[in-house]
Amino acid sequence: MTLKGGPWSESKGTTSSGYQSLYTRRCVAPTSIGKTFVSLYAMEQAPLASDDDTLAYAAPTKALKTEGKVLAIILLSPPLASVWTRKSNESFLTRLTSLDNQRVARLDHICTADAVLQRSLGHRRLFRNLRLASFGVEGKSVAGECVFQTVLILQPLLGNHGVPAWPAPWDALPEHFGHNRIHIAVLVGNYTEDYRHFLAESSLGAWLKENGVLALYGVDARLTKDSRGLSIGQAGEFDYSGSQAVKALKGEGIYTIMVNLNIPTIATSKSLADKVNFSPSPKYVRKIIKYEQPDGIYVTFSGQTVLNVGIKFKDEFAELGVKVFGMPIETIITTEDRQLFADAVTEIWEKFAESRTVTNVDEAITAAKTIGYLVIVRAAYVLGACEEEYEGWKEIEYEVVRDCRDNCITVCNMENFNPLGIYTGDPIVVAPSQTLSDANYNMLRTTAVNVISHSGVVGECNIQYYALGPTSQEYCMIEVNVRLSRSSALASKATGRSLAFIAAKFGLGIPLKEIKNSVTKVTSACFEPPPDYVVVKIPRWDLKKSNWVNRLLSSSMKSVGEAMAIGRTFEESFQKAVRSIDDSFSGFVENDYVEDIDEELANPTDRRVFAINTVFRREYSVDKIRQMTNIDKRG
Amino acid sequence: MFRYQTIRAVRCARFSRGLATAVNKGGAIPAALHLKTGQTFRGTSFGAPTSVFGETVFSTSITSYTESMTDPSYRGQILVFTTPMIGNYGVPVNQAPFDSQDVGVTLESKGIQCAAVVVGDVAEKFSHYAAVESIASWCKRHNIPGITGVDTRAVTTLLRDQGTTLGRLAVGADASLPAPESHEYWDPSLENLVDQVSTKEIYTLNPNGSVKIALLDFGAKANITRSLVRRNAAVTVLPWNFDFNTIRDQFDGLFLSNGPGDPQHCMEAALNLRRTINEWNKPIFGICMGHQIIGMAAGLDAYRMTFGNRGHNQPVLALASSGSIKAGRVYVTSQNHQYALELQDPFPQGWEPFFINCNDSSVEGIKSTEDSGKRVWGVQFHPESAGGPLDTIEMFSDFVTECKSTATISHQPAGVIGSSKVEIPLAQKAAGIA
Repeated sequence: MTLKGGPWSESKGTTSSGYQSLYTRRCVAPTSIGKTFVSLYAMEQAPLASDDDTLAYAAPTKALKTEGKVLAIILLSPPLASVWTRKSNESFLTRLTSLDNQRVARLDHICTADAVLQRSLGHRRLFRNLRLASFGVEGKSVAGECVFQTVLILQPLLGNHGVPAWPAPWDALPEHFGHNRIHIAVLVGNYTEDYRHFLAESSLGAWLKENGVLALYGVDARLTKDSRGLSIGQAGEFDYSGSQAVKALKGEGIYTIMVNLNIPTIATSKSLADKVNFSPSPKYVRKIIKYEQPDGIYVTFSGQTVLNVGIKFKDEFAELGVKVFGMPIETIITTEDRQLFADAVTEIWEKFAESRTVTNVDEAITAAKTIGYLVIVRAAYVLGACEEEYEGWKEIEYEVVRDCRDNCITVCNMENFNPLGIYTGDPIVVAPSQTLSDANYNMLRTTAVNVISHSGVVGECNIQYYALGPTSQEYCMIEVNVRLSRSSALASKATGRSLAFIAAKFGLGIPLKEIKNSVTKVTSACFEPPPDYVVVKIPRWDLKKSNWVNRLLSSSMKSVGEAMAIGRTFEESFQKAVRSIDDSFSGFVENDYVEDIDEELANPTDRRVFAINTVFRREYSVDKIRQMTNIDKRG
Repeated sequence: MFRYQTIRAVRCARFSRGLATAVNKGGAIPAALHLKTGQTFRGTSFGAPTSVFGETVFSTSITSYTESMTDPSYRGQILVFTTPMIGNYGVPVNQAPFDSQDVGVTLESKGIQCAAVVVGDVAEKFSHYAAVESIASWCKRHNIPGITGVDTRAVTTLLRDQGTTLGRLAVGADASLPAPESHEYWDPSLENLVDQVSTKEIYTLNPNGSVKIALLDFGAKANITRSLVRRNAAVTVLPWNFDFNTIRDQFDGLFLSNGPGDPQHCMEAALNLRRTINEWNKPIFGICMGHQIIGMAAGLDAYRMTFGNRGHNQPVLALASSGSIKAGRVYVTSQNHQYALELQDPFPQGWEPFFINCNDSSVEGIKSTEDSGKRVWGVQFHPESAGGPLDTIEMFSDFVTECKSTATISHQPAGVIGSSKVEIPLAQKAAGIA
């Protein structure tokens, strides 16, 4: 099977053997939300999935696996006359989320059946270049508006065990089916007319034809991997922050609805939110709000898309009677817009200490005369100038939380192994910082706290600096993320302090000092954890799998995952992390991964650390390596 | 106990193998940290090859080993850093121009104040633009021993359970000798450490400053003086037992600094201060030891805590507003103390709690009440940081502002306010205190 190591690679007999039940299960459509749900009871209840079945069909399944075929079922449901109660709707959702999250790869839009067919016949990347063939009823398209749900069930082959005897119309509780009507049209990846089962009376295709159900096969589900949903390694932090937020809210006894497109996540699992909704686009957010009538909404536990939704609905939230918890939308707008943010920071510096921005010595002297001595002259930039000027600067990040009472703490600071210019997704990160003196550390900490307080952040915030020219106290702030970012997730893991959890509590107006420290259980959460260990995070670059990718690391994210190691010394953690990235690496040891050493040192690629080790062995001096790489000698 | 020691020894050995930067194995001098409670931790020596006694304490600060080691409050203590790697950013030049604007040092005092340091992994090589030497060579120059390769987490866990413990750092040949008998341990808290670190002579910094502040030096960190001078105050530094009452009319405010050891040794200062508070209405501010002295003068008792608070992450809750401090806010503070004031109910007349520790609810600050007509503040933490967070640094501005307002109100003769000279009564000079 080609989806090796992917999230859906595991396949068991259950779903494939219970398909007839699946098709007959009603789809849930609470009209007021816009019919976004589908019922999937059948997927866990497979009536025919006895052990015998599994054994009987294991062989063909396996055979197909080797050919690299993956099946998909896309469920289409016609409009329903009856309105389902909210209760059943929830129970569906609970069940949906209990599906092990492996078989359900996606739920999609509401659209018309015609559109479905159009899309399936080549308008979308998902189905491009596929030869689809019909095996159900022919010469018919499902007309009118209906609910279209796509659920990919990654079973390589359907139809193996045919269809049992169709229940009589009076049979209220059909034995082998979820319902006595078929509610959906079917698209599958591979389909067989050859069935064999002691209960089977007809083939799947015949059964569908008889019942007038549309069915197509030939869908390659592998193509959906990158179409929507969870891209590998990209949204893990949001899953983390989402689930932590739900936990925090549930802890306060709050009824929580999680809106999350990514089905195979922790955040959508059964035991977490009271309710899960899979339609995060702005259009549905409005519908969901109208239907659920929530008191408030959080928009900072995910990425840019959700922040944008928040910004877009800024005015509407109030009309809908929804309060934005946590971060005020104005703050999000300010920090998202670089110019606004630069203005805001300038504002604090004026509040903070009387200051003038000068560009030459004469101006500085004039300014000093106006302000009056003593003056501190320092070079500091906010989001200014081009990056070349900062060559060799350290890159430092601070994770700051602030509650509604203006209490601020920095939970963690992190230092990048490589100097400046490698995007946050990619650097090798050391936490806490190891090469900053107390003055440096607290200078940046104070600035971080002041910026956060001034911009009105409530919750968690990440500040990135290009700090400290290698030879002075200069620094430059580059970015403020007012949401949980990848580094927040790292900071949480590194310190054992869940930032998302704390941020969610802040949103409810709970002050920092009333949250208990989740590590010690007795002390207050309002304290800055002083780790007595060192954390090293190394990203995993899988660039060799994609030949056309330029291996040079730059400001775009190229890593596909990361390994975090904890140890008592930098050396220990670093070694652990390198070994954890890939089983072919035996650590920071003698290696032959890199051919052109000097080039590698000067222009970082994914192999840089190995090059460094090689040159250690070739007796390059530490200073020479430092000069070539700008890596701090002990950083 | 024997079993415990064996395990520890094994662990140390394994640990030291992993150190890439620890002192080179060939010339490594063995060292051992003995605790009075019977445990021994072995490692290798760095710094001076001498053996010392001291009180074993731990600090959780991540940065600022240089500031901590020069902090006079660590006098007589064997300092264990919970941060495993110490020495990465080396040691800067500890000299600044000793002029009207600065206090002569870049760190907290001229020399290393703690008795010894215990670290997990000392960095032989350092890298920082301001660094000039390694921590090992700095310790060596100041004749301070250090031990590396110790499982500091184990030491810390032990100290946290059993409290601050007397210890001995044995270096070289001493390391192979058996641990001292319990009566042999030297207890620094029995000594008046304040007297050892306090200035012996009176001096004034920034004599033309806008307000005149007297600073009683119980072992002041340089950053306290620096913070006052940077706010344009003329600071006259007095020995800890100097009777300020004799010269109080020449000043706009009184500052009581931090200091090492047991505040009971400074009862004399507390009694003097009680008189000052009763008879003098100008602003008084105390930090750490100064805060305890103020508390004692107010009638509160000081007690010894189990392991004290040392680190840069102590949350304190403000119970009252004053200047830049807002009631209800939590500030993250730098702390270093073994003793604290007892929280008494009711509080002495005219006094109220100012700050309280969010973790252990110990008193972190007291102040005179609004209606008492006094202006006295004391805080257990270090608003001047160095090292640590600068959340409460503005308390210095508040104090200087208060002093300025007094200076204007009190209509003192112009000559006295602007004058750089402090008149010392002959009686005090003769007593040999100054």
